[in-house]
Amino acid sequence: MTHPLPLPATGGAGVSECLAMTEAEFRDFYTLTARPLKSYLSRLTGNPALAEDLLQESFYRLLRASLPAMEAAARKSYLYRIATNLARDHFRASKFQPAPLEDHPHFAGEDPTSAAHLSTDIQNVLNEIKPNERELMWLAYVEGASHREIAAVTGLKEASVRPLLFRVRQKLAALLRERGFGKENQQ
Amino acid sequence: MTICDREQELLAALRSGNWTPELRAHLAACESCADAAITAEFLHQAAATADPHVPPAGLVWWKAQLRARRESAQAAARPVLIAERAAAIVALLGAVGALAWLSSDSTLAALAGIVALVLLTTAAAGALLFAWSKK
Repeated sequence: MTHPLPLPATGGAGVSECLAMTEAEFRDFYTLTARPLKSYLSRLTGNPALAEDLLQESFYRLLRASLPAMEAAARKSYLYRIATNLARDHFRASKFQPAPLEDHPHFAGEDPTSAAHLSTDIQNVLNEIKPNERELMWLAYVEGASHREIAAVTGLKEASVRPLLFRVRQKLAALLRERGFGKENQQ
Repeated sequence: MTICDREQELLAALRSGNWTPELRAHLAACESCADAAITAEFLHQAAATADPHVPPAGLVWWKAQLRARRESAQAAARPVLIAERAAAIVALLGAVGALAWLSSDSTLAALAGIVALVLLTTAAAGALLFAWSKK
């Protein structure tokens, strides 16, 4: 399948020329990066629907950007930077503070041992740290990004990343212990 | 407390599940590594339980193409819009000048009227030519 729907036949040159990748390149790159990026955005915003919108917008902006030829890793870093900035714009525009998901009607009456409930508990803990702290922790511990890559995505100075990571990690670890996470790890 | 030198080793063990008894003993004694372990484990759980649904690549590509096409069309139409507005303003000025000419007998008003007519004709011709060249 090339396109799920036929493109409307309007005049003008091929639009693919306006995009920074061929369809095949895009598909490969998307397969590699879409799910991790969606997880990042979901946990950053605490809202899967919003995360999906930001995901599509991020890929679109990447496609429209005039970028020099670059490796997949650099492109991925650029994509994460776009996504991070979009999420920040959203936070700024809406003064967004995610509500605890346990109050969400979707989760009312949920079995406390279910995966959805666990996911909600996790999100509630994440919501207790600032969005920029979530960015840092996610990039470092889930994406395994180097300090240089984290600096490139977040716009921080490379030298600031290490002490910041350390401070946020201490904060999150204390919060997790308070909530009883990771007990088995301590034994 | 400072970051422990063995943190990377610890994170690798967390990812692979290959723990040596010595590393486990270190984890129990090192506050920094304990923080790293609990945080990493929590965040991996957060990643594993995050909503995994993503739209199909083909759909995202198709929507991007449609949007790029629409934006390109809007960008192409922008100069025409600007030219049309500029022509309208010039034509308005010309009309005011022509009215001044018709309502007065002075030489200055006649001069203003001629300038106004030239402006009107130029603006109309320019706008038509520009619009035609962009279509």
